[in-house]
Amino acid sequence: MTSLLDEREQRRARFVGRVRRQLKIAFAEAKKRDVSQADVARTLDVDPAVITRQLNGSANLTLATIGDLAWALGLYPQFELLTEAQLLEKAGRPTANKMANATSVSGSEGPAQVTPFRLHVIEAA
Amino acid sequence: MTSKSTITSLRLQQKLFPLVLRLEPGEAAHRFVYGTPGFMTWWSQELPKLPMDVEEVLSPKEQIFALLTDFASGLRMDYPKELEEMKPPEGGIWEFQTVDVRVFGFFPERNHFIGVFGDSTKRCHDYGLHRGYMNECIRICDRELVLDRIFGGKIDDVIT
Repeated sequence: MTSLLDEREQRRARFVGRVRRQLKIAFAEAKKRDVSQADVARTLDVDPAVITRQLNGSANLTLATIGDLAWALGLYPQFELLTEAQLLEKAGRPTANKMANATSVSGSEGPAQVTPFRLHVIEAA
Repeated sequence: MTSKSTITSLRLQQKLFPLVLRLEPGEAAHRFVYGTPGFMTWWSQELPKLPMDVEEVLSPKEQIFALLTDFASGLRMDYPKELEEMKPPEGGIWEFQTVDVRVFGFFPERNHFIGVFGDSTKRCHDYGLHRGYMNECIRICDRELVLDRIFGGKIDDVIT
């Protein structure tokens, strides 16, 4: 059975999902420090419902919004673009050029010299 | 007494099909998603046509693909509105949730999810379809697939 999404759609979907997930993790961690979503909303002077919608996907998350949310959570967002080899390296797997049969590695398609985006939210010191 | 089926036997009988969820480089499959023939038809024919929330940047098929692929890659699933057991929890039926999509099914074993139905979030809310989908999932699990399912009510009971 073929995949429902093409390579481009898959990559976009995973990236957007990953950013939202990072933010959900950040909010879950903030909650452990007694910082609620309502607190963050007050800090940013927005309705708490806006943040809920940004996290669940029913409001658009711009890069500026992510920066604002990170600031309100006391975090620093970082962004990087990685090659497939770098991703494999990070995962502790042999990279394509280290393997005898390079063509068997993960079957990536398309123009993908540059592969998935990653966004990390790092706690302020 | 009817003997219980297994995922393997149902796949051989073409009563279950694995869902194609392509992982990214460096990711490994920790969990698995299957669909009944009805679910697979919905996945390939109905899901691409579902309406999209006006402010959402991802299409419905992209939303559920991202969520299920995160699931398959072994990421945590304990954030609200991602994977929740339906009420009452005695049914052992679980629901994947995105802004625009709902997928209903169950876990015959840990880390193995069987998708039975999918629908749009809006339709589920507007027509109150949750209870009906839950009951149908139970019937299909018990009577058509004849599979065990995990009962528990906690996410740790169904995934590692």
